[in-house]
Amino acid sequence: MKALGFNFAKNEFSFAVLEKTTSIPTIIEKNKIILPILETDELMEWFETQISLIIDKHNPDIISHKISITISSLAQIKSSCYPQGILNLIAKKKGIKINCFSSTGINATKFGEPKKTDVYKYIDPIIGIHKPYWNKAMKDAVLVAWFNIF
Amino acid sequence: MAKEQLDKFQIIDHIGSGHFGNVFLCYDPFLQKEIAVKVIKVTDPNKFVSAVKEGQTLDACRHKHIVDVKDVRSIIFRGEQVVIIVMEYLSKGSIQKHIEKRFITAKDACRVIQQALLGLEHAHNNNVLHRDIKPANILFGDFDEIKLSDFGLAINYHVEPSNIQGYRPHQPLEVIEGNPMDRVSDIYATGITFYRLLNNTNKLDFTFTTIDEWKKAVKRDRFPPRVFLPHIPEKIIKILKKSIHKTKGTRYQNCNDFRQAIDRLNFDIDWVQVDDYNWTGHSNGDNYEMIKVKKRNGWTIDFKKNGIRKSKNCCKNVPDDKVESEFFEVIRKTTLR
Repeated sequence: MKALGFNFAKNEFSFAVLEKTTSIPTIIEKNKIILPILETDELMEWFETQISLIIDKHNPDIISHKISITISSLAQIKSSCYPQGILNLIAKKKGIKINCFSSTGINATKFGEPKKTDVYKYIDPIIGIHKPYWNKAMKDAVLVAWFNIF
Repeated sequence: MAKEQLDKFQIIDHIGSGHFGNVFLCYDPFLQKEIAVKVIKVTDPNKFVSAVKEGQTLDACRHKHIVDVKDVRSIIFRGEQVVIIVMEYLSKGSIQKHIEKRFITAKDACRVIQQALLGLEHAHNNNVLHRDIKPANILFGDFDEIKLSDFGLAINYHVEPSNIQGYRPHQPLEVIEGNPMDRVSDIYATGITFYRLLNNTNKLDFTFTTIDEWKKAVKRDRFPPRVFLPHIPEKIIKILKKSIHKTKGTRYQNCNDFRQAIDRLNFDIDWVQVDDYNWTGHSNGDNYEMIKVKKRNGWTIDFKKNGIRKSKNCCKNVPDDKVESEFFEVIRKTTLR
């Protein structure tokens, strides 16, 4: 079972591919992709191409993304919200299941831990530290993928 | 005079010769459109499988930045058994033809390479090496999108041992030394293509008489010479140098890293050379001009935005030995933000 997680931010997006073979999943690939400076329509085409490349490379069973609920600028709408729509459309066209988690849904209760447990610290000893870009943005991409392959 | 038939198609023109065959522009009377047909002669029936391989490779690598294959089959043409690969016809031709006809701006060169790398990354993800990246194999689609073509040398590198083929001037040191081609040698060939686009160089002067001579030149960064047109910003040259570095491990290791380095560039004015004294540029709907004029007390360099002189980037009384550096300094610093 292979899951692909995305987290779209203002100037970049993170993705992680997790595969479950034992009780603890393996990170097959993770990366941070910097967004090019393009007009909105060109940027959308770039997102479609870039996202498709990642999906085609790994052919996941399920895709998941962090949903943005605290958007405050037009730039964030273009770089964070629009690509989530594109991602859902690509998943639909390729017949791959897709779901999403909000920031409040990304918490330690999914691991049977109390809600107050810091999930970002909690996962390090389990899945390991995977530098570079082993930060909250990347861990969100890892976690949304992970939640699908318990 | 009746047009020659190629299977169900009517031959309109001979477009060129690729590896192992000729490419014809044809008319499909059923779909009523032009298509490109590559004809590969199969003299040895045992080689039929390898003849159709290019078509199979293109089919396995369908992507918007790779030329689309419509059909592959075996027919009799001019009394001989051939394999034909029917492909989309791209009337705007290759970037090679564009280098011959017009000035390729730094921004144009970056866009071409960015999109070629998207196609190449898809091929690599499908375990296919291109092995022959060069301007003649990078075509423009109807909307100026870039498409990689001629996968005649492509192989599935997880299945077969690679060998040394491809366009010699685009081969990296490790391949000249006898090592097999791999993803990073495709990166190098793309880097050399980037070099040619940025430098508006139609051909590389490949005059070596022995492999040792050639190897030595590549080892010492003399081939291709690390000489760049003066309008190219340093940030772009840095990316270019990394992509064609003689040491394999120092080069970009995959298409994504190479492309992301270009993606990070923030372009401002897209400068085009008009002649030795004039350049024009465009950015966000504004028009720019750079003009140098020889006067009694030296050179005057004028920078104009929408016809209005902007003194910040203008100079007066520039001596002969400084005029080129002053002129191109302004072009370079306004190309990128």
